[in-house]
Amino acid sequence: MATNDANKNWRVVFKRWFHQWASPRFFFEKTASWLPFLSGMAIVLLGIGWGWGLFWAPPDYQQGNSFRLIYLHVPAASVALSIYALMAMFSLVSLVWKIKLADTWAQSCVMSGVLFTFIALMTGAFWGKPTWGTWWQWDARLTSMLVLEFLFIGVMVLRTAIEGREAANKAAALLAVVGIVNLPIIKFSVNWWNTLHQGATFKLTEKPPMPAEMWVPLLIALLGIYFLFAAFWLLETRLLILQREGKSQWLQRWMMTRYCIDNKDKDKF
Amino acid sequence: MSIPLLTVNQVSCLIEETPLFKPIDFVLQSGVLLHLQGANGIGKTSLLRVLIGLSSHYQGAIKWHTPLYLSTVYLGHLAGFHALLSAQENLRYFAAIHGRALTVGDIEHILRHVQLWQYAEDPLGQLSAGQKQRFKIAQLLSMQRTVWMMDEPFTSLDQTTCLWLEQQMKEHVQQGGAIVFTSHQAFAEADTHYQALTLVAA
Amino acid sequence: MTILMTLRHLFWLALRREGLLVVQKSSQALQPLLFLTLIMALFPLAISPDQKILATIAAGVIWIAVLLASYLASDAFFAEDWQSGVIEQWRYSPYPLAWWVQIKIVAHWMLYGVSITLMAPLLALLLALPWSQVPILMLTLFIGSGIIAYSNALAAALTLRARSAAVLVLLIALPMQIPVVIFAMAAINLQASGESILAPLAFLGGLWLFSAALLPLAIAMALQIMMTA
Repeated sequence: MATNDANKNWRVVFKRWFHQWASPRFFFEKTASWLPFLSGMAIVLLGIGWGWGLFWAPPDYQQGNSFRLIYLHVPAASVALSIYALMAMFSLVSLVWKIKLADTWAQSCVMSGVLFTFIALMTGAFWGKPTWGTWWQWDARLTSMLVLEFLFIGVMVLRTAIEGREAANKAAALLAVVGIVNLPIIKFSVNWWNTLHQGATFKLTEKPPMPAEMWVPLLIALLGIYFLFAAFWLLETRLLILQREGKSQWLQRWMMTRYCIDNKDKDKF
Repeated sequence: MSIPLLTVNQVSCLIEETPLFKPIDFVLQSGVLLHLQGANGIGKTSLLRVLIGLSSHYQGAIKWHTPLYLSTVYLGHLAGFHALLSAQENLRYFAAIHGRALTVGDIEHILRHVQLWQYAEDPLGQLSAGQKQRFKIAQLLSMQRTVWMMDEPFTSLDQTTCLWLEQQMKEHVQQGGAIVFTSHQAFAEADTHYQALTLVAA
Repeated sequence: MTILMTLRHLFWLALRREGLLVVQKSSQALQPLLFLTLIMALFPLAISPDQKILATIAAGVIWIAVLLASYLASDAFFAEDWQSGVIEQWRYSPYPLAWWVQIKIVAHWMLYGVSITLMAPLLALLLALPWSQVPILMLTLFIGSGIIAYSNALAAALTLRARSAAVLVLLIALPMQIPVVIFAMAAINLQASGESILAPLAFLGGLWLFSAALLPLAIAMALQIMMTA
């Protein structure tokens, strides 16, 4: 009985907590001060990770200095995949529980997703030139990244192309959810295709384990880029809330208390 | 003997959580011709769609006392038929959508009733507006449903067809059916079956 | 009082309607097939009329052309039923919306999938594909066009209210069809080199089952989204 009660209690608490955060007003007011922290963390961690990786980490015994691109490539690729998963999760929440803010959360993932996937593709190409001798090799992971970019662009374009905001948002959410189901299938088929056409590619992961002075900065840069995304995401979410809730009273009052030099005026609202 | 078919309690359609019109109450009974009136854009079409469950943007309570999908038939602004197919084919398909298998005899009977039998093989797109409207009535009749939900049935009809349509609607309610319809224009002959409900902006 | 039609009866009736529609607009319906043949003529002209070169690229070229031809008509897949209010009636029917979607897609597959499969030997002839590879090409085209029909229908449903839907359909449907092309071409290539084609065919079949089971639900949801707001 006791565990059952505790379980139920936990669920009630979670539900209340979730519904609180799903309210645009609560979210907007609570996260007002987070942005400096997130961007600060991103700058510090990326500064350490990239500084260490670019200047102090030893060059790779096979690839020389060109391997240093992984300090940008790997974090960007990793965060791009996470962003797609996150976007699909928010989309699912918005479709199933009809929570409007979840849709805003999903929407603010898209631009960062396009950007980070693009960075991963570009760095992949730059890394490919000295390593493979060509800018573009149809390597399994690069191909999957390219498809991921198409998926992100699809969601982005669909939202802007449909007339009627609610329909546009829901359609984009549905596409994101379908995409996340498809992504493993695409990934699997691309990997399988790649093993059929085994070329002269050699992979980063199939090498002797990296020494600590190489992977520690990678880890820090990885963490930093997640903070960078979090900062982008929060900024975009807040901008979207401003745009969507612009007419609501709480927001106007919030703006007054925050930005009016003459605080006497705020009584009017 | 009138049977309550639908109870509507404090219902209004919503756009972005704002009610479109002042909440309405009514009970639809068999043998009633309910005319939904109101200005353009007040939400008459939205109300019809809400009543039959095509839209869920509403507040208040809607209670059907009969199985909705088996006792109502709805015709909206959109034709509900394919212009390239013949009246016969369209009618058969329309009835099938709602689960009724029409025999050739049924189709002939209905199309004769609406005076379209001689055009039964022609693509519907080639018929005139009035004939298309007759076909809509054929769609309603084909279903043998108690409640007809009609959105603006009188638009773009000449006077003869209007009168004919009114006659059809009256016959339906006299036989114990019920009709909810939207229209700008007044119903020519208001009798005991006729009720009107005007939507007022919120 | 009212007894609903059996699903089988309903299926044949709906199939008949789709078939009649194709007959009614046959000039429109034949366009993808014509397009397919025209594309075939471009490859020998653009690359080389050398039979050896053509034979190596033939299967892939046919597959890509089939994929492109499938997009031609797909942004209009639901458009007519949407504009005429038939989809609204589906939604209001006692049968689930996904069921109507399923019938329409299966009907489309039976008409296009079969005609493309039957055209394959002709296309193979034009591009000098070895005859030994034609049966497997036909098989992959048949199953593959089934999968393509589902993803194209999803793209068509999602873009019903979109401006400039044609490219958008491609953008949505193409990533979903990458696995289809990979497995189909793998089956053809493996057979050519005398290896087992069981794996790619199994993947292809699995993909078809997966699409047939799940995508009609997603498409029905997309149609509903387009209808509500």
